[in-house]
Amino acid sequence: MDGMVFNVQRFSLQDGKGIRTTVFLKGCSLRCVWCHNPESQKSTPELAVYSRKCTRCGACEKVCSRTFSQECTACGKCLSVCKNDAREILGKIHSPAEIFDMVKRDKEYYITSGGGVTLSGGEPLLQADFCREILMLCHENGINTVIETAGNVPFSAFEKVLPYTDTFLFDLKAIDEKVHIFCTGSSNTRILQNASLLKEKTKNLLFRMPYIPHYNDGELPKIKAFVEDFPLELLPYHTIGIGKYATLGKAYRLSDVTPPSVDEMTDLARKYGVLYQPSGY
Amino acid sequence: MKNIRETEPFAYGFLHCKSKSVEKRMACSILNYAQVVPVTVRAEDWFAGNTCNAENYDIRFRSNGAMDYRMELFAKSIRKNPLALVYQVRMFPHIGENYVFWTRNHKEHALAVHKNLWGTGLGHGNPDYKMLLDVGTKGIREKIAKYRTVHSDKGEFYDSLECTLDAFELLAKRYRDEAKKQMQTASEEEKIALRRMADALENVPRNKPRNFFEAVQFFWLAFSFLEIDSPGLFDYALGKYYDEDDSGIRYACLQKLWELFYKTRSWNLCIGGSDEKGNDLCCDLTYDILKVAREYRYNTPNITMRFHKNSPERAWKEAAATLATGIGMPAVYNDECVCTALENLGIPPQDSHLYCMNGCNQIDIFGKSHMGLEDGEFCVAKALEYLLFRGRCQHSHQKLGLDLGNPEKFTTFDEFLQAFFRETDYMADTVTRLSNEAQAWHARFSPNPWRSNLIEGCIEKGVDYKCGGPLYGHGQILTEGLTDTADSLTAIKHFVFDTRKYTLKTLVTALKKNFVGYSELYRDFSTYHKFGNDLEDADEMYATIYHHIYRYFLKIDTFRGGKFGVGCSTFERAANYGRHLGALPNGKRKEDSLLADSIGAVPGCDTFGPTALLNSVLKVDQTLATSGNVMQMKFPKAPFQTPVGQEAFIALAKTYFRQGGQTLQINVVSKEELLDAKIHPERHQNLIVRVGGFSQYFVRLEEGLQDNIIQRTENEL
Repeated sequence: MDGMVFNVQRFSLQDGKGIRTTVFLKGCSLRCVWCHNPESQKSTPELAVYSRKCTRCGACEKVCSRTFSQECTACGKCLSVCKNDAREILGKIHSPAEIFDMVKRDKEYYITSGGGVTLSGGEPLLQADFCREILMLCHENGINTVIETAGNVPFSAFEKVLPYTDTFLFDLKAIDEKVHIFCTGSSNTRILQNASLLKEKTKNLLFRMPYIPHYNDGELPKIKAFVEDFPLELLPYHTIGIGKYATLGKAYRLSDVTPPSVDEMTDLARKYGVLYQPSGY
Repeated sequence: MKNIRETEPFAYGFLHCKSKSVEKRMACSILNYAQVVPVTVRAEDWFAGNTCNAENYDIRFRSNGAMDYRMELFAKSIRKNPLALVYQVRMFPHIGENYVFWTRNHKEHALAVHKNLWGTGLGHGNPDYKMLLDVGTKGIREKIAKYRTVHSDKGEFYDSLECTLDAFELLAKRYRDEAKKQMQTASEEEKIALRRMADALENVPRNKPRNFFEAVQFFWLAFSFLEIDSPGLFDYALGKYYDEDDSGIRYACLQKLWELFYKTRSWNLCIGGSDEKGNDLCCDLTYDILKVAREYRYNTPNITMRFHKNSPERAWKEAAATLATGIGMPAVYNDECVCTALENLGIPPQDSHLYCMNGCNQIDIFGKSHMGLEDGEFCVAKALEYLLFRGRCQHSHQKLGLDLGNPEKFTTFDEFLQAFFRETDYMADTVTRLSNEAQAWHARFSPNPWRSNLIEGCIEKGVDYKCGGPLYGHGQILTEGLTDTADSLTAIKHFVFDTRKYTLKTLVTALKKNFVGYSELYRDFSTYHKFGNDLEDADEMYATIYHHIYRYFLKIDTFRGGKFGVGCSTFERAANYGRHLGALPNGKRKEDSLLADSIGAVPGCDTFGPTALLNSVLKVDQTLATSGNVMQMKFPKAPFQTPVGQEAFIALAKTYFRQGGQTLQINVVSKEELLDAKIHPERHQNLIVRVGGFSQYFVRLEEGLQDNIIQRTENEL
């Protein structure tokens, strides 16, 4: 079964152990206010416009009346007339074999570094059959597999990939349901159920918490209690993704939050006995 | 007023020597120099030496082993002193305005100044400081005495060698006397340093050093005697003295030496590596050199660190930590690849494992070879220009290449490619001929008897360093624009021969017009598959031309008695070569100076990250490159300073090496930093950028190269 992917990023270092190829699947069932991949949310292709390159020459408007409007269907007509390469369609259908062909190219680097493939998103498990086929191909070829999930899917999706997944990176945003709804637009009931079930089914499970000051920072002790003996890693809020919002014509809602410093995060991690790895940004 | 003997000691010594042998005359000039050069001793330097940087001499030895004269002083001398004119006529009879490029007629001159190709016969060298320290000048004299009886007809040659040893010992004595003299008026603290210096000079350079201080004093005196060149395998030469030293000041000695290296802009210092049995050679000194480099963050000397499959984790970790400081060093080299390349030239394993760098990244065998620095250089993209424009260089508009007829006559890409290779072969023949002529001239007029003492083979054969004395006399020619040419050919194959979207005639016209009025063609050609992205057709094209050119050179003999090897180095020249080309089919416009500055992608054209880039590069046989195949990568600084970033770099380098990669050169900088440095150079004086084995302050680089570095894809870590 084919899937909708918006990026295959080689030499990824923050999505599991070692040098990895991260496959970003398009479509997500949450709408976290701090999302750094806004292009991952919709499950259909989207048009991105890079205003810095755009000279407002008007060529795109001549071929399509909807090019700067909400009704854009990402048909791609305007791309072929843009002389400045200021436009891009994000999201493309790929077969599992196509994805695997890209992933296997870096096998030697995985061997040296203990890396492999990571399926991320969006929510990869919204396309569980597609994931399963990629993971199977990887396992047949001795490539380590990781899934990065927010868990807001039916548990049957987990069951499909469970035999072929070496490690789950499971995001927990909040334990308090109200906080969760405020931050993500959805309830966390199913997420917590899935997390509890998964804890029983596998040992290779790393919980991760995006740490966003003023939004979910108060949830840290509760999340720590929830994960029990499983490891928990903190992912501090950052602003690198802000620029993406404008290219998609979306508004960024968190402009008042300051990213926590490395020292702050290091202290927190020590205080709660959780993991934290500075990314350098 | 000083007399001529003192103001121009080399010229005086040379011209007043009665011998017919140039070596002997050269040795006499060195002896005269040692007698009259002012010796200054500074207690705070700890070590006496740096003779070659004594000021105000018109003529001196250069780091590449040639005699040099400082133009401005020399011009002054000629006015005042007819002796200098005589000297110039005798020493530089065939050389035009710039003796670095060997040219004798207008066409050869045009080839050089329009950046098509040039040849020369200079060379950095890697004298055997290990042997020199271990046996002292006494040991070298014994060796000379032994071979004097074997080659009884070479008396004058051996006399000249001994004469330079006399000069060297004399200088040591003069420094010792000066130190003693200064002690009479020095402060208590200075007295300690001066006494230590004087005591050491009682023992060295005649005998083996008794501790690390003496070893450094000996090394520094020899290293800075006539020229400043590459220290070579420094930890191999001095590691033993470092290990055995219990004076408590061994690291302080290293710090002092580091300051002296910096003051004199010394070249390449090579550490680590393995012996022929695969044993790792890292020692305390290896790690302390990295430590001192991190501490001082100087841009000189260039540090090269050799790795192999048994390298300890500590070596990798310390190298990564040093790179993370942003000094662009060490450049990392792969023994398995380099030694195999050298063994393919017939160098036995015990010697191939003594390789180090002369100058920036040209490979030499420590104390055993004269493999040139750059014997020449040629721009591969010019061969394509010749083919498309019937032999005409598009910068000079002169016919400098072969005219193979109208290129439109080629009906298949293979015919086109074979014609392209006729042009590259012609360039190879020309550049090596020029280089060999220059090498022969150097052998005849510019021998180097001091260096003949320190390179194995010269004393044994009774033949000078420049004349084929050293055990290994291979050569090295550098390429420019290999990737740009490969990308151009990939696009030509696709659009002209495969899909036939454009005719060659249209392309040639578009190139002539610098793509003006050909926007669709420009877009097609400039965005087509590029090397460095793990794409089969682009990589295959690159590999085809790489293999042809590298193999062709390896068949050509050098004057010194070896084979020409090819490498890819990267200096500020890459941008200069770009400006001397017309428009290229890969989308380079006439005014663009961006050429690929290493064996990797054209800057900005590798868009799939470092693993894709390295996979592309790994499709070529790097054991064909005997002159250093620099592979540059730039990483943003912040992530490189995290443990995750450093581990990733180590894994990347190990994987590249395991699959046959030769060297990696890493620049760790942020793009913002560089952009800001262009606007506010005064705020970024300390920003060091490693450009192909050559570290420089970013703000001192020319603008074209600054842009090149900024545009090179910032591989996200």
